[in-house]
Amino acid sequence: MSLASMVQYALFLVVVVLLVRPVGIYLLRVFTGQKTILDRVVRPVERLIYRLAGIDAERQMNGKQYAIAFLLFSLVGTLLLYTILRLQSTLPGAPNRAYLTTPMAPDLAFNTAVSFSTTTTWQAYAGETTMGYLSQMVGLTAQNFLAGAAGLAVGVAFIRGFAGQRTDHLGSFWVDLVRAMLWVMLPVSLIGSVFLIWQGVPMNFQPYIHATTLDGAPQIIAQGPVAALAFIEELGTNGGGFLNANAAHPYQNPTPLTNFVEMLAIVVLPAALTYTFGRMINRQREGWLLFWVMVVVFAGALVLGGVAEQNGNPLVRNAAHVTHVANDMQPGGNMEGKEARFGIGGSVLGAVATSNGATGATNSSHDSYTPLGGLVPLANMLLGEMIFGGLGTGLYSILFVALLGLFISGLMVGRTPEYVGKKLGEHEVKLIAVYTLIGPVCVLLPAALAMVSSAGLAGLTTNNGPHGLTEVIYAYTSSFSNNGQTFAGLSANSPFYNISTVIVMLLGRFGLALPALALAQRFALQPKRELTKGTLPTDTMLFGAVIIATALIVVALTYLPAIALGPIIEHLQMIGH
Amino acid sequence: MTSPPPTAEPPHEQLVTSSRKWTDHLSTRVAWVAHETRNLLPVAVRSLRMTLVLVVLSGIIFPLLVFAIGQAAFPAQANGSLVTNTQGRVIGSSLIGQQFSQPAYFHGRPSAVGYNAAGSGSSALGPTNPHLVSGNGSEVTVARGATPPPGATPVPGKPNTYYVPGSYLGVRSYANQFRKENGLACDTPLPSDIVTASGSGLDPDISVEAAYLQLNRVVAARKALGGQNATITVGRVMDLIDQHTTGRDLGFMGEPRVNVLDLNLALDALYRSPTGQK
Repeated sequence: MSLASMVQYALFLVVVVLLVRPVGIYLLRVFTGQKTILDRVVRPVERLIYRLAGIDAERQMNGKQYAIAFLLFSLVGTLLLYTILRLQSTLPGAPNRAYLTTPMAPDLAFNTAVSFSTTTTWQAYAGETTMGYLSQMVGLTAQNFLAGAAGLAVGVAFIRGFAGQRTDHLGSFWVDLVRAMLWVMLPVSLIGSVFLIWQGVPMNFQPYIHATTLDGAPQIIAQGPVAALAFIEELGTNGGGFLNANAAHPYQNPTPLTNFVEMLAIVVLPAALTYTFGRMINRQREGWLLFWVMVVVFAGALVLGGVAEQNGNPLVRNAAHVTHVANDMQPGGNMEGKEARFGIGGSVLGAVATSNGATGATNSSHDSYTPLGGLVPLANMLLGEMIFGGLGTGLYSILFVALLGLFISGLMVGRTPEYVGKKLGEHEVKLIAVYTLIGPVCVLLPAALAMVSSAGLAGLTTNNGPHGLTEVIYAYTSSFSNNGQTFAGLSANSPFYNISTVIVMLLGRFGLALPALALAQRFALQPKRELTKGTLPTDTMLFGAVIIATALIVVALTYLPAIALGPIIEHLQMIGH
Repeated sequence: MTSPPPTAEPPHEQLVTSSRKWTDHLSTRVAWVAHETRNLLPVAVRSLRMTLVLVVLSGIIFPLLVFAIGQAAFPAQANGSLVTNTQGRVIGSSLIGQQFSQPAYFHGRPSAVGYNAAGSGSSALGPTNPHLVSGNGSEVTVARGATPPPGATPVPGKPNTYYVPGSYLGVRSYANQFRKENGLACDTPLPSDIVTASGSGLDPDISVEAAYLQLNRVVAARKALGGQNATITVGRVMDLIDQHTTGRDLGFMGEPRVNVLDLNLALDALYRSPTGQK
């Protein structure tokens, strides 16, 4: 790993650490209805929205009502997006219509609609040849906002479960949603999108440009309202790119600076929620502990990925006699599928941030990573995207793992497990078990089905062998964790993959959010217990180690056979040659 | 003494009881579902109204606002960072790589999409995929005397068999080609970026080393063109490379790189275009 990469990783984490407190305080003020600097502009809009949508902002919801509102809102969003996509060929607003060669078939439209309304933004299509500008704007850009804000709302409701006492109120989904939109997503994206334009991201409605290159050949260059989508896809931890190459495309991520900022946009809000959590439950140390666990695992992933990619691929080194050591003249390492401006450091930073952050906006082709380098983003997703994680969803992901670890530790020392004054009883542990078991079912079963069916194997058009298996496991892991990134060699636009990934995406979104809301409701009903000498401390480094160990053990026991057959065999094949 | 009431009900009685219970249960179920649905309906209506309001806000008003600010403040970038020649013809975008094949130009990285900017993408070849080293072309055997497919080369030792190159030639071919073009010895280590396809297929940049390795070839090719190009010197082009090298952003982000189109445009501005089109 080069010094420059290490400096970039370290400074990235420093910026995250510096932003956690101020952003966390801001989120706290937004979601507890305290004064913020945006109030003067935004409050009237908020009131107007409640009036237009017929919302009583004072009405509190219990866990079930919150879940129903979240479900129906997601359903309406899915249906609306599906309608827009299916009508694309008849609606106006596609100056690029001549280039849209991929038909918007029902299965592709359905897959895309579910994919965007669950923040997965798995893309079985290439933007340049599939989407008109109207679909990109009113369909996809809007859904990036809505689904991201809904995830944040559920995360906030989850925190209220820990903060509440003898109440079944988790807040109002509509209020949380609108506040997430008006105070967080829209203003930050406005600044972010304008910043991206300044750096070179296009924002126009022109048809594709016909150029004649210096060499005299014709070149057609895709255009469109890219900047409006390119920032919110990161901030909302969605990741569905405007253009096929997503954040690797120079029009979506033109400079190393935009890369740094886009990756920050993924990580900062989920990181800051740990601070908000600590403040809302009045146990700041628990919040910080979660944050530092995230930082440690994130740094570990950067080091593993950075070393694997800088060491590169001996097959390429031998065949082409290339330098693999980086210096100020060239990036070295495995550059297949990576951009020269990012090099190894910026690419691995992107891989680790997007895979932990539930964001599909990859800035390099993960399919072409070395086996161990590609295992890093896969493992990040298999861990449950608990390191920063998706917007709102990341917090409950790490807390589920923490509670599982607490339960196991409690069994070992014979104490009733309690977390921040809330007792883990039978029902709570059952919900945690549901959360833990649903992942393997959603990843391994469909992957196995794909491996034994001709429809599944038909997707392996680029790679096969162990790498093909990894591609399929990656696809379902990414769908389940609502990430959306892919080993792109898999040809996924077929009814088999379009439908099976939809099922997995839905289970990944709602199969986790609903137990989370149910758990929040049960905790909110409990009184807050005082700390006694018998309580296991949950704000110590030891408990941090318990969280990490639990995550690793759960993943290792569940997925090790699959990982051994995929990336590990491939690594041995690569170094054995 | 009266006998105690029979403890067991007659069988038919029992059946009736249980079936009444069952229908009762069903009707409660139906009532419950009806009740829940009645409760859901207003939430569904609110969801629909909320979705429409927020879609107008984030899918129409927001993009138009970003569009207006972008066009007013940064029109060049917002319209794709296009580059035009002196006649005003668009020759590309400074952010989008293009294919260079003339020896008088610096060349960019291999592209899995042939620098087709109406699309984008990587090779997506896995690290142990043989195509990564040897390319995704295929061997085709034709009938004796039939014309070989276009662009195909005969495979030595196999009669009537031709190798049809694919969209990706493989790092070995890319390395051989680069060494041959630039007159480099076969043991010259190459920078890894110049033999591999980028993630977007439209990478506008190459590493500084990849530019330096092309220096002598570009100078020789320009000298051979004559005219103003004959005045070119290695030192002057070296200066041009340095001028067009962008360092790490803020000193630590990403990698130093050279924008190939910008560098070639600077060459043309100083020494005239090799095709004479100006």
